[in-house]
Amino acid sequence: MEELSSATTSPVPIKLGFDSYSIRDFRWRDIQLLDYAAGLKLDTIQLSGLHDYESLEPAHLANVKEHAERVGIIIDAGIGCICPLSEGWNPNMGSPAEYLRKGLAVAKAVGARSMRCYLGGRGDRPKLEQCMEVTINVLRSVRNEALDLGVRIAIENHSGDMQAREVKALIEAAGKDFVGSCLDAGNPMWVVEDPLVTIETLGPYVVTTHIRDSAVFEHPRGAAAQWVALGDGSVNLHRFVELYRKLCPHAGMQLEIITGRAPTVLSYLEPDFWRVFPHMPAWEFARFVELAKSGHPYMGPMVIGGSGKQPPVIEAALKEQQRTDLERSLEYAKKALGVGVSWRG
Amino acid sequence: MLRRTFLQATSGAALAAAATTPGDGIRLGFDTFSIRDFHWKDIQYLDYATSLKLDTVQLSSLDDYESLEPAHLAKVKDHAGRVGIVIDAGIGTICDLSTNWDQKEGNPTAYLRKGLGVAKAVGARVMRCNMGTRADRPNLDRCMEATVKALKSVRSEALDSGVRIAVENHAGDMQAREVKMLIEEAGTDFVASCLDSGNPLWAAEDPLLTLETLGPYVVTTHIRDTAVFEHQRGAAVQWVALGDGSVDFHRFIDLYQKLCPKASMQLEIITGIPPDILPYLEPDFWKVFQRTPAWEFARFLKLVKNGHPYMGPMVIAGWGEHPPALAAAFKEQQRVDLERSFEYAKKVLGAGVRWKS
Repeated sequence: MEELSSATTSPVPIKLGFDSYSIRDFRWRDIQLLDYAAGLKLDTIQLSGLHDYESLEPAHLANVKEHAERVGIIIDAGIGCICPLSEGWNPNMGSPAEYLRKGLAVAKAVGARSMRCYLGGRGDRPKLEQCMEVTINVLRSVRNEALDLGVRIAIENHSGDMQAREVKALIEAAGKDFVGSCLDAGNPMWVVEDPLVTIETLGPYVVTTHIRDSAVFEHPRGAAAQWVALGDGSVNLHRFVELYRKLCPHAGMQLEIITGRAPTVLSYLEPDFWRVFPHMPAWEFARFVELAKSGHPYMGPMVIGGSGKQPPVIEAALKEQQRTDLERSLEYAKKALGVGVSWRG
Repeated sequence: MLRRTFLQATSGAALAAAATTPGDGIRLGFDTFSIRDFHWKDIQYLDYATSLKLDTVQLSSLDDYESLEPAHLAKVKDHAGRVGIVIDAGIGTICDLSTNWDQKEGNPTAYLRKGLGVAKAVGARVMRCNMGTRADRPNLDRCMEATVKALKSVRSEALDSGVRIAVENHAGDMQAREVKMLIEEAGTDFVASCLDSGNPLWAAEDPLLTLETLGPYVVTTHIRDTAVFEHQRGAAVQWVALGDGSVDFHRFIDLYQKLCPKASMQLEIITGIPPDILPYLEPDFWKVFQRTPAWEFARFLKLVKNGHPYMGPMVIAGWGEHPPALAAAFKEQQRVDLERSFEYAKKVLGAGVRWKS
């Protein structure tokens, strides 16, 4: 209760919303997602992929923009992988510059001021420097359009592709006047990084976010981490929000809740693990070790699916869990962390 | 995890080697509680067991019967004989001081007699029952005394019907040493053990120690695996499918073959329950384990130190009612986890008779 009262009296309001990926199995589109957000008394939403729109026709996007204004929800836009060297690159998108331009136009059309995108995944770390160089060039190629449209391109630390220090270097090399950070609080686990280090490093560049909690614990091979609903994990979210208010209070806090996955083993006690992290400073890693040492496995209920296609009953339970875990995370953000504006009435 | 991988990688070789595995000749089956959400009854269970090429089934509760009318029970016996499945029977709590005692059963003697009558009628040679749960440990001595008295009250009926009463180490009510004492006090000529390999974890006991202690008394079983790992307050334990946990089942089956090869290996697979914390680093924990010898606890500690959490897929929903989508997934998981546990029991441990022919 002490934490709640100190949070609610904070002078810095933080807008609260969610990334549409949190409830992906519902296959809702723009207007449905906006209405759902409004129903939960949220302030913002991140439509993080172009597939979140019913149509990309200008008339429809104008309709989405108007609807968002009517229900009082601010849209952060988004696209996917923009590095053509990445395993995550989709050649159907044409060239990365075309894909970025398409995304920027959609973002502008729906009234968004930021557009999330990313470099790749952890499979790209063996060739990270090349990927970063290409991504910087791609970003620079759309600098004028981004500045003209007034849309900041927000690079996510995605799926273990980069550590915060690397994202920061990329943003600064591309140009921080049009490139910012989409800070993801769950992905740092994959790169043995304490999410508090991530926000300390990227805070000044953050324009939108993906926020979730993680249960981290020691494992015979190093540590293991599992994404969980907000408040169910090991991350000190009170400290996280304190830093958030200080470093990036204007960025929408978009919850990207991803549960239902088994813990991932981070085998840092084995030499091979370090092949793709040759430049990580020991002091940064020590912060993660501290987190792992003080954490424990998530011990609550959760539907954890296996790999690949799941039986229909498991799929149905996972789908329902997406909604349940997002909503209880939003409650935690509101009531325990004091985040959000609209819900206060 | 490693054992599961081993199973996948060597299933062909394991099949060929099954005849010489430690589980050779041990009858394999399941406790109906494993698939409780299907709400099947006797004949359905028997047919399901047959379809899986099993040898036995434990109808562990009177609720497992469509009817307790003699004509129906005779039909169940005939059907079991026809499909070649040996029935182990069962009832629930027999201690009227337990928090788990069901008043509707009248008194323990009447309940035991009713169970023995049903067991005899379906051709069972053993009947599982239990004393209570871990909530009864503060009152353990009195509960054990009342249970011994209840058991002694039906000695003649049990001996006449040829049905051994198998007391389970149930839900953390007793450690193996205590069950052994209870059996010996009641009379080893008609009382025995239904050895549960998952419940010892709720009583901070290594299941191998349970088997070593109770092995000579075991006539039926509840077998499952458990993931055990350290926790800030002591340890945490979670029941998992066979081969997914921390228990050394290769050693377990070796001991089983040596100590109780004639007892049916009834899998009682219970997954989907969150880990349970055993706060043995806190003094209060020990209030109900005052007589546990340190050497026994040290065996458990070793298991904890070597274990780690279960890291695979699982619908973890806990006990009680669930929303429809979750309930459907939970129910399906019961069948899937039981069947993959059978595969482990057959192919890795070599248990079971019928599937080899």
